[in-house]
Amino acid sequence: MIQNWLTHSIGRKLLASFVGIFLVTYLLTAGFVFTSVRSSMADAEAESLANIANQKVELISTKLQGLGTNLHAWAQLEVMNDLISGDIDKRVARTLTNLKAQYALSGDIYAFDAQNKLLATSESRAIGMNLPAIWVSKGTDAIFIDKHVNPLGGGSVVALSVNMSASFSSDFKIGTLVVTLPWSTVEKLLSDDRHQTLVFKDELPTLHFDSTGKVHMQSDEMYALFKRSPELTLAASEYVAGYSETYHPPLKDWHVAVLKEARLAYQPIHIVAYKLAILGLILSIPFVLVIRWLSRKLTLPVQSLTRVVSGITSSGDLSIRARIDAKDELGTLALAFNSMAENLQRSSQEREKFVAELELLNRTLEQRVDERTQALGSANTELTGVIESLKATQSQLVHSEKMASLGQLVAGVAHELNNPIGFIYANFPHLEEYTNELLALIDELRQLPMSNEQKAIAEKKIKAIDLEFIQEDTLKIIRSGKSGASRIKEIVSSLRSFSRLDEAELKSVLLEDGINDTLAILNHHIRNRVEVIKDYQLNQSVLCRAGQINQVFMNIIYNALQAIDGSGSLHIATRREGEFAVVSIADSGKGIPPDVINKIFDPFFTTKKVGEGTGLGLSISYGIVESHGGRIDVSSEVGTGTKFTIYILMNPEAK
Amino acid sequence: MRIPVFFIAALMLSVTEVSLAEELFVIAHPSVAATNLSTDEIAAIYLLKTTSWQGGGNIVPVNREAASNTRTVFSDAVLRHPPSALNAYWNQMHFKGKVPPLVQESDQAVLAFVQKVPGSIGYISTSVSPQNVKVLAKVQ
Repeated sequence: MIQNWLTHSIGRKLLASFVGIFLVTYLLTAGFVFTSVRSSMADAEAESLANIANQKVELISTKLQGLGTNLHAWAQLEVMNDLISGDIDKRVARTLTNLKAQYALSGDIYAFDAQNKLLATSESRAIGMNLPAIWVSKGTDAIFIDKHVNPLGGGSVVALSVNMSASFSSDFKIGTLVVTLPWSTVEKLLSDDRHQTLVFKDELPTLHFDSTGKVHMQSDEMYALFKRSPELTLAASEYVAGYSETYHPPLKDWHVAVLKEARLAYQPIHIVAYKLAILGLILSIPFVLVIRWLSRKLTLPVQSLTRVVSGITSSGDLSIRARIDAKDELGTLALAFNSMAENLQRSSQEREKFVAELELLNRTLEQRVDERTQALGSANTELTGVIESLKATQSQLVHSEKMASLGQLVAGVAHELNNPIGFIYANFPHLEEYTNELLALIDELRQLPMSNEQKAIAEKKIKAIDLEFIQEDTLKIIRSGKSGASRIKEIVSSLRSFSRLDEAELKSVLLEDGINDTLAILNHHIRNRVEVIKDYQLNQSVLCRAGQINQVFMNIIYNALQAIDGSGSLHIATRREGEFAVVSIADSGKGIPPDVINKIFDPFFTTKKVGEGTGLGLSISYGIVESHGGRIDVSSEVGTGTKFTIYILMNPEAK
Repeated sequence: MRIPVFFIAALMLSVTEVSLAEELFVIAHPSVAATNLSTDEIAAIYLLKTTSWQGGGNIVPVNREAASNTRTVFSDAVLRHPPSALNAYWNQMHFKGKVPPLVQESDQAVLAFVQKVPGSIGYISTSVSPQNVKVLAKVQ
């Protein structure tokens, strides 16, 4: 149950452990103090008892020593010499009586002569008795006769005995002086109210004196006593004992034990124990309060944190934050927890957002796939267009290079032809004029008067040469030559203008002129084979790069002429549609198969034999027209013919 | 009360001195070798000038108590000094480490002492028979 109580709260654990620590510490300390105090008190008690014992022994010892000193002094009294003469005058007897009275002796003094006969005594007793063997003293010092029954008077006594010498000669023995001390006096000295006293000797297991009356001989208690045990149990009572030292003469074999009842002796110790217990209780109250306060203080943030955590867990509300009270580890924990909660909240929000987005995405995925597919398609288309345009650009480049060299050639030829044809053409008017003048001269000459003969000859020759016809025909020839020269001039000029193919300059030209130039250049393909039907309705200047446009016409018309097997017709029409100038060129050729009609503008696509065409013509044309902001439409029917329609902006700069 | 007592004592002493003008034996222990002693020799012994017998052994002189008539007689006849002067002298001797003559309070006691202590010398009234002792002199 305690475990159950403990496992519920850190505070309780803290409280329990601190109280436990306190208890253990306090109990150890108190135990240590108690045992130290107890042992020191017991020691002190034993020591004090031993002191008392020593005092008692010393008291008796002093008493006996004093008595011994006195005995010596008495033995040297001059009057003792009277023992030699048998104390005839009773001076010794008187002296002893006086001494007993003077020293207030509780015992008696006995004087024996050299023959060990009792000559004098302080008590009124018949004299003449022999010296008891126990009192016989040898040597000069007084001897101590321990507790015994007085052989002369009866009753327990201790006695001191000394040999007496004559005052005039230490060699002359005059007798023995004995003083007794009644045991009751000794007992009186040993006894006191507060202690029990035991006197024992160790050579014989003798108990001299027992104020308790409880010790019995040969008992274990006696043994403990001999062992000087500091604690004794006598007749079921506990005692503390102190023992006397043994240096006290003449009581050398005396052992005095002073006993004190343990109950009384240890009373102060019990008081100490009570005080320690009370001190422990008094200490424990504030200690427990402080620990309780401390554990509350420690666990309060944890509890608050726990509340917050369980609040979050139960409600799922991540916006709850822990209160940060302190800057200690718990404060850091709360801080860390808050930041974690924040992160959680944020990530949760993000997750919700993502889920929503995902759902939306899921819903719109199909649509998006469609869109994407379309975008992909358009991109693909665009890419295809780009590829095409790339190809076109590439072919245009190739063609440009080719045309550049061709143009140079053509320009060179045209330039070389231009001078001869120039002066041919320039000479024709003069030739016509001169011819006319010659013919007029001939006519005048014929009108001149001359002989008939001459006239006949003349007329005959005129007839022979058919002057009439010459007149007519010469003029015709001149006109025809003039026209031929003019045409050559035109062709040369066309070549020259054609050779200016890459001129980037925009010029206002009549498209019809360009078409005519082209037809003129291609005349050898047309003549006697193809009927060219022109339907020019535009007749307006178009701002364009004429050379490039002429090349377009050239390519398309040349293709048309090649498409026509044998005889056929070529319809060329110009018109205006809004801002576009439109040129349509329709042939009556074999047509383009539908499977290739989409490829005809691809570079290098050709149906001609290798070496006859590059497959670049239409591609380049398309590029040129596109660069003029226009387009080329084509419609074809196999067996009927093909129609190309070219749209060019009237004024690209206006855009 | 003291004055009458003192007076009576003094009276008694004077009466004794007057009545007992007696003779004395100077006695010694039988073992003493000497047979006769002059007054001067005896005085020398009692004044502690001679401390041992000629034959060997210490001399133990025995005196009577101060109040004794016998001692007065002996002091006058042998020592030739009043008892008070002799007392002062013996005290002085005592402090010098010499044992003054012992005191016995009766002729019997002196006799018994001298009988028992070898080398002892004493004096008794001639009225007492000097048994078992050697009489060295008779003093008047």
